Amino acid sequence: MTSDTPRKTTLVAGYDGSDGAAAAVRWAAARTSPAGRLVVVCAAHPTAPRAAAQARAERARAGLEALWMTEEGLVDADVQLLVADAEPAEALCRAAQEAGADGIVVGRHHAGPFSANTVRQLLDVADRPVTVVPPST
Amino acid sequence: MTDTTNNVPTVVVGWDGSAAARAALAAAARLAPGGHVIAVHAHEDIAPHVTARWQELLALDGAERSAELLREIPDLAIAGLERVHVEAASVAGAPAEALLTAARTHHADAIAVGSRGIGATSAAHGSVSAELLRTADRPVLVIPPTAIKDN
Repeated sequence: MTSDTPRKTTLVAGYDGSDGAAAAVRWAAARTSPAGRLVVVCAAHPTAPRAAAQARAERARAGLEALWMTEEGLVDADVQLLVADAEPAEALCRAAQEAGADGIVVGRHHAGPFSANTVRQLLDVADRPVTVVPPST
Repeated sequence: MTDTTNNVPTVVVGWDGSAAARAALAAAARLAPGGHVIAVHAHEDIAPHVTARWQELLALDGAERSAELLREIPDLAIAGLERVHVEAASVAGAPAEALLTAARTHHADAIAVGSRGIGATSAAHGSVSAELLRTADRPVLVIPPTAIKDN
């Protein structure tokens, strides 16, 4: 993007509490450390019932905390959780633009808010690299 | 599955000389600072019905074109390229398969490719990126069409 390269890497990752999403967050965190920044986006469709959206956000928060306890690679990562009331693809793109991110990272799974459908939408609208991380990574 | 014994970051890039491939190369260099970037150009297998002599000539032609494309990489003005060790590989075969094989061989951390739009409009194309996203055993970085600036 810019010719004078800031060495710090900033990434935006989608997270919904699932194992597939955890793989994406782990991978992204490893690429942003040591000095970079990771913005984790938990998005629920705006049409989703309030309670369900809240429950999802809570699950994401708890899931992230659990990730932090178990993954030593994450300990010194600069991570921020963003809960968004928007379509996941849209939420990820907006977060990436706001953070000036180098890329967007999502897991590969078959259901849930960050599903293959989201990946497809994401690739239609994203203006920066999108990395899709398979579950076993 | 992950016996990542090498800790040099390595990324395999699909190379065809396009703007999308250049963006993928830049992204790969960013992902693997101080590491290796393997640029792979795949030239398709030759239809079996042509004569042996033709096959030979076409294969030569394909390999030559492939090598030509890869030769231009070091001269490209791509930010971050100077921070990685670039290796070029010309492979016969279908692109997605060639990239997957190269990624396995080099224990790559990821595969980076451009995209000609793999959304609803072009799903029927069965593009390389779409195939990789379905089948790859490691992270796949895709440059979306909207990420490519015209140049």
